[in-house]
Amino acid sequence: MNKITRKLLAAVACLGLAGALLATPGCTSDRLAGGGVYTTASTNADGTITATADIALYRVDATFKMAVSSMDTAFNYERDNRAALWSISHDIKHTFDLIRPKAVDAKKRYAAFRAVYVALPADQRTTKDLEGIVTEIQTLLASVSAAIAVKTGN
Amino acid sequence: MDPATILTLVSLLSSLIAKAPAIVDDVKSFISALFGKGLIDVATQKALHDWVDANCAAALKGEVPVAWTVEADPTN
Repeated sequence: MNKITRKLLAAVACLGLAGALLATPGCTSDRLAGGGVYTTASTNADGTITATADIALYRVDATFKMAVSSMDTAFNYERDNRAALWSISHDIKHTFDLIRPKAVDAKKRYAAFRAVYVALPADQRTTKDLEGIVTEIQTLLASVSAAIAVKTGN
Repeated sequence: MDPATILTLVSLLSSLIAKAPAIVDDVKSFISALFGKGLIDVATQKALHDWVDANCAAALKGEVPVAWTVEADPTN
């Protein structure tokens, strides 16, 4: 039983960590179909307009979604089972409570940086800041998952 | 380990297993999105874009899901 619990919790943590690696450009060979919402238009020096699929933003958005969804699952798990977890160790909720405001802040910063990103011309965009924030969320996710695993003795 | 702790752990495990299908679905779509060698279709792009847009808009408005807030400690 404890092994299963540990595996499930570890899976949640690993999802976030895996995302950090997957967000690195060049580790996938996927392409975006033209005409999608990630397609941006830019004007070349000669005045011609080129439509480009922004695969970098797609990747970091996909990683962000995975990290936030996993974090949401972890937070809801603690909240839904608070009484039981509280009876095992008060440190579990207290660790989560340290992480919660940091996760909220990271999510808000991602939103702010993303708004700036999409407002920039295509040739001036970089997903570096967005990737950094997603990595932060993944690190926070690993911390909450570890808190449950350690305090429940799994 | 005393019986009460075992019951607590069983309860926690049941709760976690109940969430497993949602986690597995997320993992499947995440992996297929990032490892797929084919084209990522327009509908898939839109679904991700809409999800991120909605979450970013909510975050910028200061909306915080209840499970993400710090609540008072249980009294018992």
